[in-house]
Amino acid sequence: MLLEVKDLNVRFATPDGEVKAVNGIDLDVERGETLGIVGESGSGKSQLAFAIMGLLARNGTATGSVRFEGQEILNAPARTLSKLRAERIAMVFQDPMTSLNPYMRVSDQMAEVLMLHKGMGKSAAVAESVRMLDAVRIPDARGRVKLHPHEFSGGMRQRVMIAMALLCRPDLLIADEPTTALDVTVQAQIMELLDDLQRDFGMAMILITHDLGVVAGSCERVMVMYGGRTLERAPVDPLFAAPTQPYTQGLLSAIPRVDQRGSRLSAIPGSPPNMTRPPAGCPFTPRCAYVMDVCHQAMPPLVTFEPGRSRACYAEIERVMAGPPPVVEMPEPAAAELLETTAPDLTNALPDAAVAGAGSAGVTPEGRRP
Amino acid sequence: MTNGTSAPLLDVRDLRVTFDIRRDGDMPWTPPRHLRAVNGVDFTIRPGETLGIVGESGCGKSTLARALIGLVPATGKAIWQDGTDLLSLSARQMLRYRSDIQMVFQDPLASLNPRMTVGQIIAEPLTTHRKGLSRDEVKLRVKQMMDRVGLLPNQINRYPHEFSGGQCQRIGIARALIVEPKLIICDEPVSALDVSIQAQVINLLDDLQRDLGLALVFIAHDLSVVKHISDRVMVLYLGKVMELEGADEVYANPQHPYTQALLSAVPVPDPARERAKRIIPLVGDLPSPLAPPSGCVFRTRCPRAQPLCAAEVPALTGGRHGAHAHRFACHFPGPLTATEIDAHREAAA
Repeated sequence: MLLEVKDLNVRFATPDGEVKAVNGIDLDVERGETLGIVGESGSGKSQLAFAIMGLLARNGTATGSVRFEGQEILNAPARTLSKLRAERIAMVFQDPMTSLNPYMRVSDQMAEVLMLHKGMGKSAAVAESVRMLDAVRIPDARGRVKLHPHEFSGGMRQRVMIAMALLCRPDLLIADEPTTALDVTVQAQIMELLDDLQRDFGMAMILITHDLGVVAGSCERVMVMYGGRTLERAPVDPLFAAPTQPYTQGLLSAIPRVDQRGSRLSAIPGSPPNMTRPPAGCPFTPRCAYVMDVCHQAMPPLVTFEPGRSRACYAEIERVMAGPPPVVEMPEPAAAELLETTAPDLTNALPDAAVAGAGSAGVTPEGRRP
Repeated sequence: MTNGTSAPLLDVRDLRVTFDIRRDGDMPWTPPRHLRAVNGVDFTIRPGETLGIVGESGCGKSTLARALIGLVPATGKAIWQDGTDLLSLSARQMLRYRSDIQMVFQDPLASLNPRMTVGQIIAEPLTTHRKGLSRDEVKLRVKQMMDRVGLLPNQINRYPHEFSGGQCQRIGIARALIVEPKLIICDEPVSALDVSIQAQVINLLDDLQRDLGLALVFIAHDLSVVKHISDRVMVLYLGKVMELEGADEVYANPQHPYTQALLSAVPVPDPARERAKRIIPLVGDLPSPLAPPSGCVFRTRCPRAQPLCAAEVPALTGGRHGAHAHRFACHFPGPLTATEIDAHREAAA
């Protein structure tokens, strides 16, 4: 087992009270495999990744256990973490413009990693950086390594980010929405590149995204998150063919598909929960079509019902698989009323002002484009 | 939905938007360089129909939308159904038509004034365009509209920050609808929203369009969303129309190589299909709109480019296909063969 996370909780202290961003998450990643984590904004998927990497904002605390090759790394000392982060676990962020240093030439930023972590000399480090830029298929890498980040297009910048993450040949790459800021044709190329690199380097990958299409293309196993909890976990094929959890089912039927004729979309009514005051039971309860009394009282446990497949839901599988009951059309205003207190969520927890501005409920920072 | 025979609501001919670009350090007498953001676009919109506009960032789709409501200066013609050319009007004359054409913007929160209440925001077009209405009448109409788009009328005195992203987009839609427009231009109205909320807003737009007979121009980078909502789809690349057709035909039977490349890249939530799919790669970057390629603007990245493509600009031609005219701007249209795609992939690698 490469990475083993047990009962991970992430809390943020904010002026509006404590935000319970991640609640009791278990996950494991084997060497060389790809795990997809799917969820909407505010589901806690990015904070989960930040907690694993030890990158939480100052007002955030993580409890539980994160073991990397058997070694406990949650809340480990900064020295241990910074060594681990570059050499064993690397991360690719969503926005390639804000995650590269605009003042430094690409050659300097990349060489710095190798000089610090591998003790290489400057010229050897730059030569290795050029080789890595070649590997991520940047044309004329030798000529372009001297440029500044703003001289690259969005897709090329993301390639630079990926090249930088791979410099020390990590065992695990965490990619947080790596293609969301990119055009669809560039996205396809970057995902193809990530798949190839993963195979060539034998890395494991955690792919965090809100796009179920991207997950379908690149992941072996998928974890669906909502309100900071895991609601369903399955290999990719059964998850898409036969979702067993009402939220997964709702999500899949809410997306218009390019390969099918459109009928009316089945929208999920309401909006995601406010994580300063999460519901006592299952976080999906207020929007769920299969809701029962017990759902309001306690979170259903994540139960493995088949090797590799587990779900957290009180409704029987057969009932969920039969499809939602005829909709008692919840009048929209009523739905709005239920959820009108959704505004203060993770906004206050995020360190980056740009992200915080985009973080009000229901607005994905990832959906925002120039 | 339309039968394709009614008179157009808006007939756009040879629309061009050119920005003059000056660099730092240019001398006052240095001639500015021209950025042709929209470079000769023709299309029509019929009453009650939805025209989807797709293309990658930088293709000019947002500029096109802004030109239609006069937010950026444009040349060419945009003939409204009463025969007036909207582009020839002064700002004052345009005011009359502003209430017929409304816009819904991408960023739901940023497009609402944070210092105004929801009631004031939604009422503003009404107090601007329908000056004769009494205050009570305005308030009544605002409340009815809030109810129509799924907001609680008793939230009329709240401020935008108290609402979620999906609800803010409903406010934006209410503001656009309050003056009973005939045409709404939606610039990426759902791309900032989560999947589950996105479906709610798409369904709302669908319902409103059906009930009120609105025409929609729906701009988005998400091809699946555009396919879902549109009757016809226009594909833009570097300010030019590549293909224009009924939505189902564009997606089922794309003729232009660019449309095919775009469609091949769309991720589909179906693992088996994803594994089997064959992406047509686009080599290199989007050329600078300051110096677009000669001839066909797509030729530098086209798997099928020939010498003719550099020499001659392909016209937007084609015949009728079902109810809609199917037109494409390509010298060598038709589906790319597997051999062509493979050869192109190798060249790309």
